[in-house]
Amino acid sequence: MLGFHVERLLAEMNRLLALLFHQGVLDEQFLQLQQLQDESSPNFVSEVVNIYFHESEKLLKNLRALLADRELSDYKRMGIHLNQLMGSSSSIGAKRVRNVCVAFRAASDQTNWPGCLRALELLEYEYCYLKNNLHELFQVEQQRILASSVRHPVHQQQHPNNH
Amino acid sequence: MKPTSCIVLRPVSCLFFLMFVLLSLAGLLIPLWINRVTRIESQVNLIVYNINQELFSGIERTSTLFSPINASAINLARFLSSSLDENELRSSSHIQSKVAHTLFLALSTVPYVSEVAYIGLDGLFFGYYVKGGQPFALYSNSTFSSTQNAPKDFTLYAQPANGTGELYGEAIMFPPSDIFNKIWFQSAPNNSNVYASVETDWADSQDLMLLVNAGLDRRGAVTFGYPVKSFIDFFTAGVCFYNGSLILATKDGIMLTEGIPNTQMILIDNRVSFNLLGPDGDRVGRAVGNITCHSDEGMLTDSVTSIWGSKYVISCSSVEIAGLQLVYVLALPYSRLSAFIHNNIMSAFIFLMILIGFMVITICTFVYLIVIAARREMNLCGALIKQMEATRQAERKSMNKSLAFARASHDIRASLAGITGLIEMSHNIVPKLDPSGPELHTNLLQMEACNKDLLGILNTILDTIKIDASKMQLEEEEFDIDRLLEDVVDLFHPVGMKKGVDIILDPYDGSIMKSSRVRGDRVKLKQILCNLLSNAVKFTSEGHVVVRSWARKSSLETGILASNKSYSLMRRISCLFSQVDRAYSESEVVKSIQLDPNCMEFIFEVNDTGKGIPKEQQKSVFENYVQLKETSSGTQGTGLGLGIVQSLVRLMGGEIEIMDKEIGEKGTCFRFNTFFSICSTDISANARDVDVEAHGGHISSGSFRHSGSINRTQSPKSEASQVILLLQSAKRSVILQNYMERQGIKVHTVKQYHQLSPTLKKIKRKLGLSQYSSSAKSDVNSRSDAHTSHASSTRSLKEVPLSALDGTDNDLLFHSNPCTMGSLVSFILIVIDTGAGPFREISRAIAEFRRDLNNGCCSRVVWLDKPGSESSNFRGLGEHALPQSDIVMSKPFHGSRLYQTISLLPELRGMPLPRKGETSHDVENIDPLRVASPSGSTINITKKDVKEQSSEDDVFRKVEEIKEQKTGKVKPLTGKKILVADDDPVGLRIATSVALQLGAVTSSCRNGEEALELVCKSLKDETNTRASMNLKPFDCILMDCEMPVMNGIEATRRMRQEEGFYGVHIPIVALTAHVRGEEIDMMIEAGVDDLLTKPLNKENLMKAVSKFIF
Repeated sequence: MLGFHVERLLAEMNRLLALLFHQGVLDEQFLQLQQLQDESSPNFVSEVVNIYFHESEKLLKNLRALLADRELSDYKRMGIHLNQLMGSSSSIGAKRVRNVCVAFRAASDQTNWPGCLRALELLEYEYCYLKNNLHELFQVEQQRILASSVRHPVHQQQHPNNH
Repeated sequence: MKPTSCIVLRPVSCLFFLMFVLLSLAGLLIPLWINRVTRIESQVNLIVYNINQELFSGIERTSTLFSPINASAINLARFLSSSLDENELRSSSHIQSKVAHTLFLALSTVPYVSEVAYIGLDGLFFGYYVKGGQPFALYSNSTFSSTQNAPKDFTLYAQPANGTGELYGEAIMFPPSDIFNKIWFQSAPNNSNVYASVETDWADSQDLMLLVNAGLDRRGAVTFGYPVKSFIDFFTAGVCFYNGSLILATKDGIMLTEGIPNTQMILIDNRVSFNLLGPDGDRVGRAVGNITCHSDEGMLTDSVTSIWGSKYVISCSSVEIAGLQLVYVLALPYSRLSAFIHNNIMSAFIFLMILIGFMVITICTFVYLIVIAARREMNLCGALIKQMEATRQAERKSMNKSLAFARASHDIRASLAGITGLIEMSHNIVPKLDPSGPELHTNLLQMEACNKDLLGILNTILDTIKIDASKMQLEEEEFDIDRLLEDVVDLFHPVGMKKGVDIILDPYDGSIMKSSRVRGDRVKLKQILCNLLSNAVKFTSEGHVVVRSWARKSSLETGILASNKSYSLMRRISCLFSQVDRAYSESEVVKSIQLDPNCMEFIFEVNDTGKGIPKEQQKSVFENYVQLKETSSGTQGTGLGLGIVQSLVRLMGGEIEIMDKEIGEKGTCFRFNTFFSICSTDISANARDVDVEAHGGHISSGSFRHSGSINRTQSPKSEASQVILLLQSAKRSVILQNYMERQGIKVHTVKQYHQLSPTLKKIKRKLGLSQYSSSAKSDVNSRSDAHTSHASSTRSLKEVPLSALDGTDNDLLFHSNPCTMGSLVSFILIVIDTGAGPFREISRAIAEFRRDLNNGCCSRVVWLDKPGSESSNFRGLGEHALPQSDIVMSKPFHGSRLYQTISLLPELRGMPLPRKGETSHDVENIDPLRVASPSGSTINITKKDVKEQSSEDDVFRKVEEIKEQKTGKVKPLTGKKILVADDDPVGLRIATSVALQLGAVTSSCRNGEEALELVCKSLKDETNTRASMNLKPFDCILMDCEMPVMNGIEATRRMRQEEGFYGVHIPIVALTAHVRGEEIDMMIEAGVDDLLTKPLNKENLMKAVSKFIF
C-alpha cells in the first residue's frame, strides 16, 4: 500500500514536471540541475533553488524600489539587477522568468517606464508561479523520499541515479 | 456463569449422593437389625418362660419329696396296731409301757419330727415333743370315756423325759384347752386314713407345725408333727427364685412363708390379692392384685402387679405337700430379663437413630458449608471476570491513550518543525528590520536552541512510546558501518573538544573495515551510538572517550556444532531457556539472525573516563525514567536515553551491559553487540569474485575498501615504513600505535614535542646505516603517473615550493613524490598534531630532518589541524613553508583520515582507500581515483609482488570501470583546479557543482577583485618557491562578467597583466547572461579564452574547458 503511495507520489511529481515543461516555465537546464544532485549533495536542487529564490526576492525588491519613482529611475542599475536575475534564472532553468527578464531589460534599455512597470508585474507573476510550483514539486519529492525511505530504504540510495 | 454453577453443584451433588447412600444403607440395615433384635427378644422371652416353668416344676418336684412323711406316720400306726392288742390299749399303764417306748423311738429316728403322739379312742393320750432339745412327754391319765362329759377335767401332764424316754421329774399340768380345742385331737383317732393339718406346736404354740395323723384301726391314731419351717427351708434351698419370692399358704389362708415384705397375701376362693401393710403392721390402702390360681398345671397365668413401687410378675398355683393342699404364689421382679433386654435394645436403637441423625446433620452442615464456599468462589469468579474485563478495558484505554499520545506528539513535532522554520525565517529578517538586532538575534538563537531541545525530548518520548507499543521495527538497509561510526564520532568530536575531552575512534583490529558493508538498521544503530556517546561526553569532564568496535563471526559455532546432535539439542534447550529469560520476544529474530551464515556479530564499546556509574545503580540505569541522582540535577533529559538504547539493542538482537573497569580506572564502559548480515552488492560481488581468483585473499564488500593489508605487510621487506606519531592525546597515540602495529607498521610515538627532534635524528642515523644494503635489494618502483608526471618531474625534495596552499587546493598527488623516481629505501610518515606544541619548533625540526635526508629515503608529513581554524598555523610561514608533499588534515585523526594516511605508505599503496573522496571542501582528501587511476600504471613494491600487485590493480580498475559505467559518471576533470568567480550565488553554486561532478577541485570567490587577488597570490607564491616552472595555480577560471566591486572584464584584464610577469597563461572562461555582442566583445578584448552563455552545464563546460586543458 505504501509502495503504491510512493508510486503515486512519483507519478505526481512527473506530472508536475511535465506540466511545467509544457508550459515553458522550466527548461532542460533544470534537468541538468537535477543531474548534479548525487550522494554528496542529496538536496542540491532544492538548495540551489532556495538560493535562487532568496536572491531573486532581493532583486525584485530592488527593482520595485528602483521603479517606484518614474523620474528617478536608475535604468543602469536596473539593467544590472536584471542581468543578474536573468543569469540566475537561466542557471536554474526558469525559462519564462528569464524571457520576461529579457523583455524587461529591453524596456529598461529604452527607458520605457510603463513598459518596465508592466514587465515587473509580469515578472512578479511569473516568479510567484514558478515559486509555487517548485515548492509544490519539492514538497511532493520530500514526501516521496520520506515514504520511500521509510519503506524501502534501499531505493532511496539509488534514486539520484535514476534521474 | 455456567461453569461457576457447575463448580458449586459438583460437590453438593456429590454430597447428596453420599447422603442418599448412607440413608438407604441405614434404611436397609435398621429393619434387619430390628428383626434380629425382636428375634432375640422373643428368644429371651422364651427363656424367661422356661425359667418360670422350671420354677414351677421345681416346686412341684420338691412337693413330691414330702410324701415319705405320710408313710412314716402310717408305718408307725401299722406297727402299733399290730403290736398292741385292744386290751393293752385300754389301760394307760400299758400304753405308757408299750406305746411310749415306740413313740420315743419314732421321735428320735424319724427326721425333722419334733412331735409325736398316740391318741386312743378312749381318750388316752401319750406323746412326746421336743422343746429346746429336751424331750418332754405329754400324757393324760384319764380315759376319754370317763371324762366325756367333763372335758374340762381332762388333764394333760407334761413331764420331761430322759434319753431313753423314761419319765423323770415332776409332771406339770399342761393347759389342756390348747390341745382339746384342736379339732384334730378329737377327730384324729376316728380317721383311719392319713390326714394332715397345720397347727401350732404344743410346747409354746409359737411355731407352725405340720401334723400328720394316721389312724390305728379305729382304736386310736398316731400323730407326727413336723415344723413348717423346715419344709420351707427345703423349698427355698431346692429352688432358685432369681430374687423373687415364694409365698405358700394353706387353703384356709394360713401363710406359711413371709413373701414380699410389708405385704399380706389374702387368699379367697382361689383368688389371691395383697394387702399393703405399714411399718407397724396396719393395712394401708386397698388390696392390690387379683390373681386366679389354677389348679391344673401347665396353665400358669402371670400378672404384673405393682407393689410398693416395684413391679412383680405374680403367678399362682396349688400344690399338695404330704396330703396338705397348699397354694403358692411366685412373685418375680418384673424388670429382670426381658425388660432389661428390651430396654437395652430400645436404647441401642435410640443410639443408632441419634447416630444417623447426627450424621445427617453433619452432612447437611457440610453441604451447607460447601455451598457457602462455592457461592463465595462463584462470587470471586465473577469478581475476577469483572476485574479482567476492567483490566482489559484499562489496557485498551492505555493503548489508545498512548496511541493518541503518539499521534499528538507527532503533531507537536510538526508544529515544532513549523516553529523552527519560523525562527529561521525570523533570523533572516531580523537584521534587516530591527536596529536593535543583536538582542533579538540572541533571543532567536536561544529560541532555536530551546526548540531543538524540545524536539529532542519529544523524539525520545516518541521512541519510548514506539518501543512500548512494540511498534518499533527494524528497517533494514545497506550501509557502511565503518563510515557510520566515523560520522558519529566526528559529530561528537567538536563537542568533546569544546569540553577538552578527546573522542577517539579505535579501529582495534580492523575487523570492522573488512566487513563494513552490512545490512541492518542504520538509523537505530546511529541512535544508539549517539545516545551512548552523548552520555559519555556529557559525564566526562576530562580525559577521553574511546569508541571501539570489532566484528566477529557469530554463525561459526552453530555451523560447526550442528553436526553434534546432543549438543545442538542442549543448545536448543538453552535457547528455550534464554527465550524465557528474555523479556523481549525478539530472541527468535536473534536466532534467525544468528543462524544466517552471512551474519556477523558486531561489538561496540564506548569507554569514557567520566565519573562512572556506581555498581549498585548499574542495573537501574537501563530502566526508563531513571536518572542518577547526583547527575540529574546538573543535566537535563528525561532519563529515557539508556532505556531506549537497551530496547533498541535488544531489538537488534544484542545485549547491552556495563563492563567492569579495572580498579583505579575511572569512568564507565558500555558494551553492546548487534548482529548484521554482511551484504554484497552487485559490484562488490563482482569485485570479490575477481579478487578471489586473482588474490586468493579476502576483500571486503565495499568497492573502495582497504583490504589485504596483512598480506601485503608480510612481504619480506625488512625496512618497512616507519610512522612517527606526535599527538596531543596520549591515549589516541597508544590506540593508533596499536592499530598500526597490528597492520605491520613500525610506529614511534613521541610523547612531547621537544622529543621530536631527537627521535627524528635517531631514526635518521639508523636509516643512514641500512640504506645501502636495502637499496640494492629493492627493486624498481616505477610509478609513472600519466597526468602527474608533468607537474612533479622537476621538483626536488628539498626545495618543494609551497604551492597554492590556502586550504583549498592542496594537491595531494603523493605519488608524484620525487623519491619514488629512484629506488625506494624506506618511507617515513610523520604525523604531527599542530596542537601538540609550538608549531614553529616542530616545523623546524621537521625541516632539519628533511634537509639531510638522503635520496634513498622519503618522508611525508601529515599535519593535523584543528577543524575550525583551518590552516591558521600555515599562514605566513615564510621560510618554514611546508613542502607540497605535506598534507594538512583536520582533526580528528581517525577513520577515513587514518586510512588515507596509512595508505600513503608504500606497502599499502595502490590499494583503494576505505572511502571515496568527498567534496572540494575537504582539501585534505585524496581522491582514490588518483590512487588507482585507470590511466596510471601499476605500482610495484617488490619483484615478488609484481604479479600480485598488478593483478590486484586490475581488479580495482575493473571495479572502477564497472562503477563508472554504471553511474555514467566519468570524471574527466579529475585533479584539475578550477576557480569560479561569480557574484550570483545560484550561478556560483551550480558552477561549483558542475565542476565537482566532473572531478575538479574548485575554489570560489564572489567578485573579480577576490579572484584577482587569489590568482596573484598563488602566482607569487609559486615564483617564490619554484623558479621558472610552468605550473599554473589554476587549470581554469570561470569568470562571470558582471560582478560588483570589480567586474569580470576588469579582472580578466588585470589577470592577464599579472600573468605576463610570470609567463603563465591561465585559461579564463567568461560566463555571461548576455546574448548580445557588446559585452562579449569587451570580454574577448580583455583576453578571455572562451565565452559561455549562461546557463552553465556539464556539456558546455566540458566543451569549453577541454580546449585548453587537454
